[in-house]
Amino acid sequence: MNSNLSDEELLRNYRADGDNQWLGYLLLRYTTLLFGVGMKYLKNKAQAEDAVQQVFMKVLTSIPKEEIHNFKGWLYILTRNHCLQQLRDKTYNADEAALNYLPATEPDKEDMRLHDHSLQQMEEAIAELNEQQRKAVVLFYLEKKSYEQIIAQTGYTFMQVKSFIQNGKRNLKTILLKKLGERRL
Amino acid sequence: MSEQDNISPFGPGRKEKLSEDKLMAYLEGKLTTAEQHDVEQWLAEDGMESDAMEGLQALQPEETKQAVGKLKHGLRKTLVGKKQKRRPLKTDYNTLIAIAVILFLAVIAWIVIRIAK
Repeated sequence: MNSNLSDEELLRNYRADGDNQWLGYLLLRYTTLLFGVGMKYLKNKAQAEDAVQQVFMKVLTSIPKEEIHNFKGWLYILTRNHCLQQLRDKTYNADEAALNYLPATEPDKEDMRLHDHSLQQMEEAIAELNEQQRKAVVLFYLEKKSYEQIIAQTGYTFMQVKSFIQNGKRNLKTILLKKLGERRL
Repeated sequence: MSEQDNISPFGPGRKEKLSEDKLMAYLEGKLTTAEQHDVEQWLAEDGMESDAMEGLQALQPEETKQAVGKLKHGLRKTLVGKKQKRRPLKTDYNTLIAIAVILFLAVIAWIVIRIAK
C-alpha cells in the first residue's frame, strides 16, 4: 500500500520512473496541513484553496531535479513562501532552490542537551517565566491538560494559550540552557 | 519513560507523525482529553502542524473537510488527466494499423478487379 511508504520511498519511486502518481500520493498525504498553512497566512478559505492548488501544480510541474532530503519541510516552506509572496504582492522573492538543502529531520542537539536537566532545574526555570506563560506551561506539560481545559480554567483564548505555551517553552529552553551552562563551568 | 521525560517539554518521543485522520478527529472534537493533549503538543512546535492547526481553527471542521475533499478531488483529476494524455499515442498506433489494413485490402481488391477484367 502506498500509504505505508515513507515520503523518501515515494520520492525515490518518482525519481525512478518519473510517474507523477507518486508525487500525487505525497501531496494527498499533506493536503489538510497545506490547506491549514494557507488558512493561517491568507485568512481566507478561497484564497487558501487557490494557494494549495498552485502549490500542487508547482510540485507536479517543476519539482527540482536535485535530491530533496526532507520533503515535508520542503513542501511546508514552499507553501509558506507562496502565501507570503501573495501577501507581499509579488515583491517577496523566496529562494526556492535553497529549499532543497533542508536537512532531514533529526533530533535537535540543544533539545538532547536539555534532556540532561534535573527536575529541580526545570522547576526553577518554570518559576522564572512570567505568570501567564508559567500558568500555561504548568497546566499543559505538568498537569497534561488539553487546550479546552486550559481555556476553561484560565479564560485565555485558544491563540493566547498557544502563544503562552510556545513562548514559555522557548523561554524555558533559554533559561535551562543557561543553567546547564552555569553548572558545567 | 522516566518521570522527567513525562513532564519535560523537551523530552523524547513527542515527534510522532500527526496523521490526517487524527488531525481531523481533533478538529471535530472527537478525541479524548489525553489524545487532545497529545495532538496539541504540535502546537508548541514551530512548523507545518502548528501553522496548520492554527489556520484551521478559523473554520468549522465541516468547511475544512469540504475544502480538503475538493482539493484532493481536483488533484486526483489532474493526475488522471495527465495519465490519459499519454494514451493517444496507443490509439494513434491502432488507427494507423487499421488504415494500413484497409489500404492493403483496397489495393488487393483493385488488383483482383484488374485481373478479372
